[in-house]
Amino acid sequence: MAYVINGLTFAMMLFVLSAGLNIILGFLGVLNFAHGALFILGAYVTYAVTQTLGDFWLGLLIAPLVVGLFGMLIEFVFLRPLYKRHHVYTILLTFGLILVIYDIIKIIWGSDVKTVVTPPLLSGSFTLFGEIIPVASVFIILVGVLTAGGLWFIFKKTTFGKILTAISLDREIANALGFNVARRGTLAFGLGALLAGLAGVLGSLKLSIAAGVDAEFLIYSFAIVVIGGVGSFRGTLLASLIVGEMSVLGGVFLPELSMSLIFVLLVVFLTLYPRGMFGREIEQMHVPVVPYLGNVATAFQRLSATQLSLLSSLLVVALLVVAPLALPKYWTYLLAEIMVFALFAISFNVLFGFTGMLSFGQASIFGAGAYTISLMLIHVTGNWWLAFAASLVISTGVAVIIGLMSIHRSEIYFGMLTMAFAMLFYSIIYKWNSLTGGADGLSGIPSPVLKFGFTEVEILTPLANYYFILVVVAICYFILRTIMNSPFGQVLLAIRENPTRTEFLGLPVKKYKFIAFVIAGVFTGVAGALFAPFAGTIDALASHWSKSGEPIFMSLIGGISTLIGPGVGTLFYYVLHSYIVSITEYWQLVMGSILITVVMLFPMGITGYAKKFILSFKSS
Amino acid sequence: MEILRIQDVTMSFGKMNALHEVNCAVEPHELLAVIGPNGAGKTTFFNVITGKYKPSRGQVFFKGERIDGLSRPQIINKGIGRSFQVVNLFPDLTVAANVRIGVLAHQKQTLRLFKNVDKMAEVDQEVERILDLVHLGDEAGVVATTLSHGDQKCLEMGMALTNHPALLLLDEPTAGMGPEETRQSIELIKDVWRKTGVTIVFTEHDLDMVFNISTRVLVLQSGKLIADGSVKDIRNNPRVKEAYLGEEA
Repeated sequence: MAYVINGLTFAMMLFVLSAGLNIILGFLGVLNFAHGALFILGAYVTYAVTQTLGDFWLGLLIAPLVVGLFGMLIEFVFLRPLYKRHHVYTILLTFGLILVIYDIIKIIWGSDVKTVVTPPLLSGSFTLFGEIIPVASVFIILVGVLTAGGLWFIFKKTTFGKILTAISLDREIANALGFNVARRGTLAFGLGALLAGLAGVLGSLKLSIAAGVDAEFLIYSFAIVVIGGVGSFRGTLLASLIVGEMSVLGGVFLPELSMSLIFVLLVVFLTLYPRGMFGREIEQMHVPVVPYLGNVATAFQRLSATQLSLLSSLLVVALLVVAPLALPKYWTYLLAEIMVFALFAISFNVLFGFTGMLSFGQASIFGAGAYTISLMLIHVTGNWWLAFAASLVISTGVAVIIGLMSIHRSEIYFGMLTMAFAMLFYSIIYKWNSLTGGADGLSGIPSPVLKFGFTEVEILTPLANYYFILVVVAICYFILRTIMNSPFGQVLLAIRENPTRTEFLGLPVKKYKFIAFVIAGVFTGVAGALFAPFAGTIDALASHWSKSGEPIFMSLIGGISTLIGPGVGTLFYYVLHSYIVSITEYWQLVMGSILITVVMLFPMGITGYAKKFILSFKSS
Repeated sequence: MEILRIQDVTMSFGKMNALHEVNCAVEPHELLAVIGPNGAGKTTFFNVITGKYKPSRGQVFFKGERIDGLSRPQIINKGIGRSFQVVNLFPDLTVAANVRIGVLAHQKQTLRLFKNVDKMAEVDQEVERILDLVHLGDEAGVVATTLSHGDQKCLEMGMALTNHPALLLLDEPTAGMGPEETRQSIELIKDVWRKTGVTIVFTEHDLDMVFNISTRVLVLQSGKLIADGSVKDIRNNPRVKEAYLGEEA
C-alpha cells in the first residue's frame, strides 16, 4: 500500500512534467530535450525563494512563473526561426539549452546538492488503514489532480485552449483564419515550461536537487507522452500512472527488469500504436536535412570536386601519419581517440546527412561492439581478429534488429523509436551486472594481439595503438567513401532530398534505408570495437542514448553535407573542449552556446562553408 | 490489347467519393486527356493508378495485369512513369543527377556499392539521351531548383521517362505556366509522344491545349466519368458544356 502511494506520488509528478512536454510536442512539434533542465531549474528557483524569503508557498507561486517566462523567451528567440527547418535543428537546439541551463544553475547556485526545507504544513505524516502516509505525498497528488482539472478546463472550455487545439491540427488553416499562430506558439511553450517548473516545485519536496537528476525524469516523460498519445492529457494521465507505478512497484519487486519493461512498452507503442492510447499522429512534412545548400550539393556530382575531396582525404591521412612525430605524447593519445569517434560520427552521418535519417540508437550499436570485443578479449580469446569478428557480428545484429523495427516509421517517429531502443539497450547493459559489470562496466581489457600467420604483434604502446587505429579508421573511411560515390550512394541522396519521388522512380525506399542503417551500423560497431581495447575500460554510459547526441553535434559542426565533415567536427570538438576546460569551469555554457550558434546561424558546418568557398573561388 | 483498364473504381475519403464507379480503358499510343473542373477527381485518378491510394472498390489493370494494391515502386517498375502537378524533384541535385537516379533504377544498378557512379558510360549515355529528348541537354550541370518553372516541368517529364514507360501519366503538365511556356510544353509532349511511341495520359485545365493535341478526351465531374470520346464529340457534348459552364456560372 505504501508503495502504491509512493508510485502515485511519483506518477503525479511525472504527469505534471509530461503534460508540459506533451503541449510542446503536440502544439509546436518540438521534441524538447531541455524539458528536464527546465524541471530542475524550477526546483532550484523553489530552493532560492524558500531560502531568501523563507516561504515555500511563495516558491510554489514564483518558480513556475519564472520557468514559464524563461520558456517563452526560449521559444521567441531560439525556436521560432527554426520551425521551417528539419526537426533535428530544434532538437539540437534544446540539447544546447540543457548545457547552458546547467551552467547557469552552476553559476548561480554552485554545484553542491541542495535540499528544500519542507514547510511545516507539509511535513509529517498521518496513518490511514494502518499505513503511514506522508503529507507531502498527498499534496503532490492533489496538485497533480488540480493540474489535470486545470488543463481540462483550459483546453475544453476556454477560447485560448480551443484555438491552440485548432492550430495544432492545422497550422496553415489557423493562420489563414487570422489567428496569430506565432504568438500562441510562444504562449504554448510558456505553458509547457510552466508545468515543468511546477513539476520542479513538487520534485523539490522529494528529491535532492542537482543538475542531472532530471535525465531520468525526462526519459520517463518521453515514454509517457508517447504511450499516452500526443495531444491527449487523458492519455498522459493514464500513462503517468502506469509508468509511475511500474517504476516504483517494479523497482521493489522486479528491480532487474522494471526499467527495461517501461522501454519495452515504449517500443511496443511506437511500433504498433504510434498514436499512443488516446493521441493523434504528429503531422510532419518532409524537409531535407541540409538547408540552403545551393550549389554546394552539386560537388557530389562534379568530377573535379570529387578529385578535390579525394586529394584532401589523402592529405588528411598523410598528416595523421606524421602527426605523432611532431606532437606531444598526450596528443597522440587524444588523436587516437578522436579518430575512433570520428569514425562513429562519420558512420552516423551516412544516415543523417546523406540519407536524412536521424537515429538516436547509434550508441547501442557502438556499445554492442565495445562490449562484445571486451568480453571476448577478457573471457574467450586473446586473438584480436576473432574477438573483432565476433564484435562485428553482434553489433551488426543489433543494427539489423533496430533497423528492421524502426525503418517503418519516418521522421520524428523514427528518431523516437531508435531512442527507445537505445534506452532499452542501456537499461539491459546497466542491469545485467554479472555480464557487463553494470554501472562500473568492464576494466582491464587486454590490448589487442594481432596474429599474422605465425607471427604475433601485440599493440602495447600508445604509438602502436595510434597507428593501428589510424589504419583501421582510414580503411573504413575509404570504404564508406566508395559506397557514397556509388549508385547506391546516389539513391541515399535521393531519399534524403525527396523520398516520395524516389519511390515514384521505382525504388523501394524502406529497403534502401534499411541497408544504409546496417552499413552505418557495421562501421559504428567497428568504432566501438576499436574504442574498448584502446581505452582499456568500458562502462554503461558509452551506450547511453545521450551518447548518440555527440555524433549529431560533431556532424553539424563539421558539416553534414560532406563525408569527412563529421571527422573534422570531432577534431574541432575535442580540441575546443580540451581548451575550454583548461580555461573555465563553465565549459558547458561555452559549448552549449557554440552549439546553439551553429544550429541557428551556420548549419552548413566547417566543411560545408569551406567547400562553398572553394567552389565559388573556382567558378569566378 | 488495351494498356490500361480502370474497372468500377470508387475512391472514397470518409463519406466523399473522389471517384465514383469509373470505367475506362486506354489503348496503346493514345494521347489521352482527362479533363474536368476543379475537384473533379483528376489527380485522384492518377493517384489510384500509381498506388498512392488503394481504390476503395474496383480494379486497375495494366497490360492485363491487376496492379491495384501493389506498392508504388512495384507499379512504376511495371512500366508506368509519372510527373506531378506541383514540381517534385530532388532539389539540391543537378539536372543530370536527377535523371540519373531514375536511369540507375531502371538499369538495376542501385544496389552496386563499390562502383563509381561517375564512371558508368552506359548510364551517362542514357542520361544524355533523355535530357536531349526533353531539351535540357545544355542544363545537365545545373542545380535543379535554379531552373525556370517550365524547365523544371520538363525535367520531371524526363525523370518519368527514365524507366522506358509504356504509359506516361502527366498531371497538369502546363500548370502555372505563361502562354509561351505552355506552347513549348505542348510541343515537347507531342514530340516525346511521336519519338518514343509511349502512351500518354494527361490531366489538364487548359481546354485549348487539350483540343489541340489529344487523340481522345475523358471528362470527370464530381468523381464521375461523364463523357469519353474524340475531341469533336467532347466539344459538342451538352453535359460537358454544362459541367464547365456550371462552374463558370
